[in-house]
Amino acid sequence: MADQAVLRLEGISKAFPGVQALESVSLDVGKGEILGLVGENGAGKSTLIKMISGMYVPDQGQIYFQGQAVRIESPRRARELGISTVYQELALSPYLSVAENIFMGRLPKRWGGCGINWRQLYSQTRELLAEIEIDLAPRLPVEKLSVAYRQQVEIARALSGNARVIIFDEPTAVLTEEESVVLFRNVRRLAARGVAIIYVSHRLAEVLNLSDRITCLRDGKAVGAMTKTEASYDGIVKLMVGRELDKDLFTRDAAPQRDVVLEAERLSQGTLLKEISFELRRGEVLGLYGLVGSGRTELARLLFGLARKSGGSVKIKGRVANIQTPRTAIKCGMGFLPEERRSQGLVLELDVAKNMSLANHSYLTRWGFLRSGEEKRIVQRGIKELTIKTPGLRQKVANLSGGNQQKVILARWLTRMPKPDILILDEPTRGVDVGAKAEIHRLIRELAGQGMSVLMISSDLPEILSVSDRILVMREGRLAGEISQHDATEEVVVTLATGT
Amino acid sequence: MLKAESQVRKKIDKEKRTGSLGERLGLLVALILLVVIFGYLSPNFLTLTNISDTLLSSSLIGIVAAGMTIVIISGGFDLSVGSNMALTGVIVGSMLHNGLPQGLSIIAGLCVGVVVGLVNGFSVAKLKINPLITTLATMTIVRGLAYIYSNGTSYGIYGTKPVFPNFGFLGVGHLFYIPMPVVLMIVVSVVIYIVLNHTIFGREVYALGGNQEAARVCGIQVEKMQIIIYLLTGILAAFAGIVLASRLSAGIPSAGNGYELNAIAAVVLGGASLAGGKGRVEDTILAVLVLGVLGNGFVLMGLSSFLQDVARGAVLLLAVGIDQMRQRRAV
Repeated sequence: MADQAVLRLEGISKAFPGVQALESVSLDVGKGEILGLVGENGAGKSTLIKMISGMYVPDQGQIYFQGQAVRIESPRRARELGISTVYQELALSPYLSVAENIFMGRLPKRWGGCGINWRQLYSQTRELLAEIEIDLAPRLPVEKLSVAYRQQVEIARALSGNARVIIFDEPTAVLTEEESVVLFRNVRRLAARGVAIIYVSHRLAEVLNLSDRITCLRDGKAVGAMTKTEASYDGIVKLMVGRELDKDLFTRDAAPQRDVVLEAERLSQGTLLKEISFELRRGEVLGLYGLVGSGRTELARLLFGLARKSGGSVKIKGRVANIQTPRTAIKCGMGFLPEERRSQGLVLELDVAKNMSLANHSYLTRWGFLRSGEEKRIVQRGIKELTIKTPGLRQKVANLSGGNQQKVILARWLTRMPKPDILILDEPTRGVDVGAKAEIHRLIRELAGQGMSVLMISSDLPEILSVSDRILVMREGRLAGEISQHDATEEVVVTLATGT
Repeated sequence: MLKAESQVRKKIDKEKRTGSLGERLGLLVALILLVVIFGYLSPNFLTLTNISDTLLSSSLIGIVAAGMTIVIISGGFDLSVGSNMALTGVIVGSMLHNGLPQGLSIIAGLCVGVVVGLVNGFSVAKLKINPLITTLATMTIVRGLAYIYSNGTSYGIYGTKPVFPNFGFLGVGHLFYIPMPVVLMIVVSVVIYIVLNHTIFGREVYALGGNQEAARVCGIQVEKMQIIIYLLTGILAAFAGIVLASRLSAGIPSAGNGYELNAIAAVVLGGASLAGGKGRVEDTILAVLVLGVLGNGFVLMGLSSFLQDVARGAVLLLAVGIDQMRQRRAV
């Protein structure tokens, strides 16, 4: 048994100041096996991965690689052993070509090591890509690739380094349904070649589908391990959160035709968006689905004044609104939760209170000075109403979990004075754990019930289907269709999105 | 379970607080250590005159560095401050030299700061030129202008007594036995402290430096903020230039040379991040004092001023290096 495991962890513990991140975790993965690793945010998954890939060294415990006790003290050592990681945030050099990225650090040499053998590099790359059936031009700069293709470059890089173990860290977080299917095929193919795979994801359905075995972490401990046949969705969720979730579809009043709050008419933006018209009514959640590159994020950014339109118009409550900056969008009563919370939503250096009041400055000022008492009151209310888990309002927002960070951004708009009546949410639950996800869904429905109009972009189909009143589907910069909630099924939505 | 959780949290909280306290105390401890060491080594160090001199020699850098703190927190950079001081100095100097009214001369000097600040701000905010490049360019341009204007010579400022309301008061006068430049440094830093910590403007400076995109999404007018910030540093540098001219009783085109780098060094030594979003004006002032005491101590011990430069650079490397290492461990 021990000999068969390519990688085995025994009793791994790791503590950070004030936190026991991992406590005596053991797991193993064999040749050609796919091990699913699940757990809520903060359960210790990332720490565990960083330990295997040489970013951290465990405080206690032992790692065995092909039966040998090893000490992986650096990422370099991990690579030498044949352990590769495909990270959530991809680590490629944007200005270099696909081939250079794949063979970075191992470029074929000539002229006694002074030059690069380009011909060999490109032919090797072509072979490698053909072998794993990835259709990419070796000379293309990575900058020009979509996230999904960049991920494939990462996979190719791992393989070219003769990886024995590949760790996938939330690989589908940035992918659409379609692209995910391609990824799953690639993962299976890797396993079939004998690579041991550790697959980390929030999306339980795919973990269940892919993995041969599943290990579940909670609060830094391995709380369960099961084989594919033993595992069930409900069982894992229960293990992860230590309680059961209510999965009921949200009940809605048979949506009466309510007044239109936002009306887009033939909105265009260069080649990205083409003549998009739709209406957003009071108190509805309008879902917006589309594959990556279909223009959904571009549409959101355009509506919020973060991009310039090249044609069309937007009416807000019946009046034409010329929105060119977020400032005017906010004045028109809009709030926006951007796609990337760390790079676009939060100021990580600042604390919870400062992040929450960032859009509320005009209310919180008196003769230029900050009304700190009022700020404190408002922020405390926000923390309470959205049940944000934080040691205090002066905690650095970078120290919160993904779900709580997302709630801080939501609270930013909900505590704003005056309160916005249109919310644009771009991937509100990306990288958020199961528990917080359900809470955010419930919150969105509650807000709609109170009369808030929500435009919710998501590449998570179950989310779109269960939270929206109506669903818009985009394809290649155009609106491909509109579906009402009770006509919507995964098939209908995906068919519209892919045009098949 | 709940209790354990809250205990962990308390522990984290405590470590956070003491951690930052340690960080804050570092500079103060360094300052005290330096004072003790030099006080022991040199009998002249802890005399009232010498303390006053040390403060005086740090005061102009202090004013410039306090302004620099705002720019650096906002994610910017300003190399033009030293040249700005020089051009202001020669313009004010020439006007006073030719008998023009003092108030008018001072206003003209501050206008130099306004113009330089606006050019910097406009280039960074509207033309999107990197702040380093922008201010490197304006640094040379403004220094050149100072030499062209003055034809390479200095303007002596005669006959202004160091008492209020004369021009000489600014640089040479005293308020309650404290040299005026020191008083001005304190006033400027206190004002900037209040601005950074208790006003919306200050809050937005931090947000801007921490994450420009997030600031924009929240409706903060990024470009307007940037222009105001460069304008402020420009005016503060011009103000320092005026005080310097008063102190030297002359407008000199080579004045303020190297102030920009010393000011940046102090801001960084004070714990600000060149990436923006982080920094405190009180720590900048502490860092200015540390560097000032170091310089003064070297002089008293009869060490070469070249050695002083070496020591100052070494302190900067050491301090930032230690900070980096500690941060890495914290992660």
